Amino acid sequence: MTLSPSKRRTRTPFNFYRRYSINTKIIVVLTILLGASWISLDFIQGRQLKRLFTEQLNVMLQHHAQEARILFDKYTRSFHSSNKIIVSQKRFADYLKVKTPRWKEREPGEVIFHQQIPPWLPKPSVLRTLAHSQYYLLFDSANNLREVYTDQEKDLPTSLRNSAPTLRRLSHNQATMTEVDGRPFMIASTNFYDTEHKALGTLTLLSPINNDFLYSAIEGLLPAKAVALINDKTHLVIASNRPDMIGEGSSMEEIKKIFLLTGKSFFDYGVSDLKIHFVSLVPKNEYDALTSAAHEIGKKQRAIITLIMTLPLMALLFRITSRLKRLTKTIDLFSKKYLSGKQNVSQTHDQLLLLEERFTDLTHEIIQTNVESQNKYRALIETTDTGFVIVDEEGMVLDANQKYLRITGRANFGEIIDHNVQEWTAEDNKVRHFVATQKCLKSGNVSDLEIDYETPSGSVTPVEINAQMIEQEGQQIILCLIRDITERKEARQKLKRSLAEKEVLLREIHHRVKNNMQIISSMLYLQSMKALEPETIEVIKDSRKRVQSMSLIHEKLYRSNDLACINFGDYIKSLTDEIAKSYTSQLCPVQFNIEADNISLPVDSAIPCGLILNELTTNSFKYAFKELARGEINISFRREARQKLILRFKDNGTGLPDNFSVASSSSLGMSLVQNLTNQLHGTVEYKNKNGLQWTISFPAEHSQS
Amino acid sequence: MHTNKILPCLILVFLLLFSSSCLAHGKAALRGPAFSDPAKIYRLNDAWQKKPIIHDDWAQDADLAISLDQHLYPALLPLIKRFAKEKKLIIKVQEGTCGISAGKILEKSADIGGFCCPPGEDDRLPGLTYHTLGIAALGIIVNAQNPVDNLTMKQLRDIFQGRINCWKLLPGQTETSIDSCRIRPFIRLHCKSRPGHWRLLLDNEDLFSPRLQEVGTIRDMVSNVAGQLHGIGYEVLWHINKHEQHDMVKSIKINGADPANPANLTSLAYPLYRTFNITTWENAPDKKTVAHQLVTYIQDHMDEIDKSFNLIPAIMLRKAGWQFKDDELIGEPQ
Repeated sequence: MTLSPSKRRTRTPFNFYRRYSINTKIIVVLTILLGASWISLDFIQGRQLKRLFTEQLNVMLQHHAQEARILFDKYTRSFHSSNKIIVSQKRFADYLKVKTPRWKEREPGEVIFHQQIPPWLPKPSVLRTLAHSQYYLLFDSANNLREVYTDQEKDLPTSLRNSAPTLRRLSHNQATMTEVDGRPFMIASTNFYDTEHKALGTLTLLSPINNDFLYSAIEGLLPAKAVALINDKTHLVIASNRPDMIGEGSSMEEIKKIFLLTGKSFFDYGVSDLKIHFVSLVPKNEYDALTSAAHEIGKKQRAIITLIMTLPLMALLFRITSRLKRLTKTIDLFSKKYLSGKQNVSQTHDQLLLLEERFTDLTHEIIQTNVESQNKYRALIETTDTGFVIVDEEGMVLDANQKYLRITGRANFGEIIDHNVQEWTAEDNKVRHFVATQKCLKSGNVSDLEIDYETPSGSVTPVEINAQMIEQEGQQIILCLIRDITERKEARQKLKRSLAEKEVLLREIHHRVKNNMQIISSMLYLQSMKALEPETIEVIKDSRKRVQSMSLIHEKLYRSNDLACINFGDYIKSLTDEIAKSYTSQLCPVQFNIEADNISLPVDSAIPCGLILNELTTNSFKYAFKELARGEINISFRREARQKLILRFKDNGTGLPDNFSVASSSSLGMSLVQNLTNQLHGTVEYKNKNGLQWTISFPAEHSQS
Repeated sequence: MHTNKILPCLILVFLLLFSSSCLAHGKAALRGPAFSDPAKIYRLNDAWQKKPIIHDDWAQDADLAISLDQHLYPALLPLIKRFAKEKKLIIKVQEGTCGISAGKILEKSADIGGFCCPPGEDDRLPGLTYHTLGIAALGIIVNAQNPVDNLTMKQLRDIFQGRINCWKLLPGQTETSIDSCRIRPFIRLHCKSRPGHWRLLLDNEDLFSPRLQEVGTIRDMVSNVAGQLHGIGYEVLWHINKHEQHDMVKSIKINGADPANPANLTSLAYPLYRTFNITTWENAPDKKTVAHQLVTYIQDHMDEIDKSFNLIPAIMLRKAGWQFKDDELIGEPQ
């Protein structure tokens, strides 16, 4: 993904929202959401509450309707039972069986209406305990209505009188509901017999099913509970216990406007030809008031919950924005310290957007820096004359520069990338290369590994490898610098050859110098053979010794590996041996005790130093041991105080005369000692102490240890 | 000597005949009639007989108006709808009770009436023909937790008469098997003027114990037995099974016969049942061919009625030797 700050900050019509802080925006959004949620929740909760209430009411009112109907059932049964009780009363039997009934005095069809309790009915105290009937009808055995008791100032409906036989048939020995003149009636009939079981007549209890009847039937119910009887055919109210609200004849549609009609059941007596529903009702205003009260409680609870939830949310919001600000500041500091520090000036107050911008800028900067760094790195590795290759731990090439490609002799990077370096390593170098790779992985680096690469054409390119292992994304990779050392190797070979040639030449020179000095020594010897005076012979002999001591140095030089220096300890031994041989016939035996550090001296120092030692040894042989049976010479050559060489020479001879002075001595030997010491920039000391003791000290400028 | 021996024998024979007669009379007195006499027609005046069938508002434009009891209504409705569709007729069906159907028939506002009881003498109106569709077991139900699962007919009658009022008095029952002893029978004395149904248990309301609890509806019957550990009642199996508390009651066997087994009913091994009839008009002004076609259609497709209604079709009863007069079941097997 490429991030473009300029593109990102293109102005849009919605840019205004960038002007406000995230706190402001969240508060606005939260307010809108809360408002919308509140309204939605209010609506949903209201509906759910109503539904819940309706369901609960439905269940309750169904039970209520059932309870009311059970009471109604009982009342219906008691209507029939009352009939049977009346017939079984003594007053009834006495009236019909013992006394002569009043209707006997009347013509059939003439009906006696009683407004007071007739003699065939129980006393009021008993009658009150029975089901209340509006009409008590007495029929004779010929089905003629004879006597009627009613507390209503109404005559019996004509149609009822006319259909009396059918009604009595329906209600025989049971209570039944049927319609008369379009109005429902409850009827129960019981025959009464004489002692011989001969039918004397029928008592029929008859009552319209109206508000009074319903009220009597369900008087056990609380009056607050509204119930109604609905005719299934007409859907009109037959009766209700709340006539003030539910009038007789009200339609279901009217009722539903002001009542919730929930509980409903109908009778399945099997003896009723009417289908009547028993319904329970709840006034809508009561229901609405109850729902509203519950809704109000819900609202208050919602408000408290909203407050409880919002306050911590706001606190959290301010905490988050504060952290966002700090994070933005940290990014700015980081950018300034480690990157270009060029952050765009933002117009937004939104902390999150600001952080986003800063982060995007930072990412852009990092990418930019990284790209630049990569370009630099690439330019660097491409401009150097050194091959550069990155391999993984298996030796597979991950990256390389052009120089490396050329060193390997391959045409393009495709031939080396993802190829193993062993492919172009010379056959006899492969194991060494592999071992070096493993070593690099273990130790972290490899230096100056020289191996040969083979090009596809078969030519060999010697290379020097310096490698460093690094870990990248959990993987070990090796960065290698490869130098083509073909020219260097050739130059080294040439130099080596040249050096060998010069060494041979130098060795030859030293050899010739030595030979020449041997010739000079021989010539001096021949000369001494011809000299007659002993002093001359002695001078020549001394000279010869001096030449030999120098010759010995050249001999040591051309025999040594190092043609510039000689081991001076070895030289002392050889020189003292040579001198001792030349004096064996005339002197007492001389014991040499030589102690020398392993110090090599260049020829410039070795020759003067050798001549000095020659002079001192020769001097001791000449003069020191004349009166001794056994001579002893101790020579030590030590390095002291790092830069100072000390040559100590001591014999056990007679020593020098007391007034002897090297500086004023006319002896050539002593002069040589003094001059050669000066040549060495050293000092010479001597003293007599159980013999003669010389100490020559000089700076060790060219010596080697 | 000879006379002395004969006289006690004659007395003994007389006593035996008398006692058996008394027992027979007693048994007959307990069990009410299963059917009424089809020959007895209730008399109604000429005005009624001349009155034509006039449908109520709910079936004003219908080809047929049918009033069915609450058992036949759901059982027959699919067949009636299919018939109406096939014949392209408008048939209106109203759900009610035996009483409502009887009322519609009496007021001549229905072409077909459906009854869950056999017709009483007062139901046999002039020109009205009964067609028996079948019978269904009248289950004796007890609370589902009651360990009792079988009673003899005598035990059952003794319970409803109040002679046995404690479960532990029944053979095989102990005090521990049911916490409290008192039996609580529930009765629903519907259709008192019609034979059959509960009257097969005890003929009339005065034979039932005065201490029983009387309920008005089927729903109350099942609810009460479901709610009373010691309750016992009766109802047809379909009504029990459709009640929301059906799993809290169970129907028990009588004399070891399961009411759910049709063979027990056809053989009368299970003796309590209800009879289902539908009616048509035979008199000229009211007779409708499509009504008879519908009855025939229903009879021919009785096997397609859902088995949950537990209806044993008339054809099976005929095979089992039940007595029919024309299309109406009038007697149990001899």
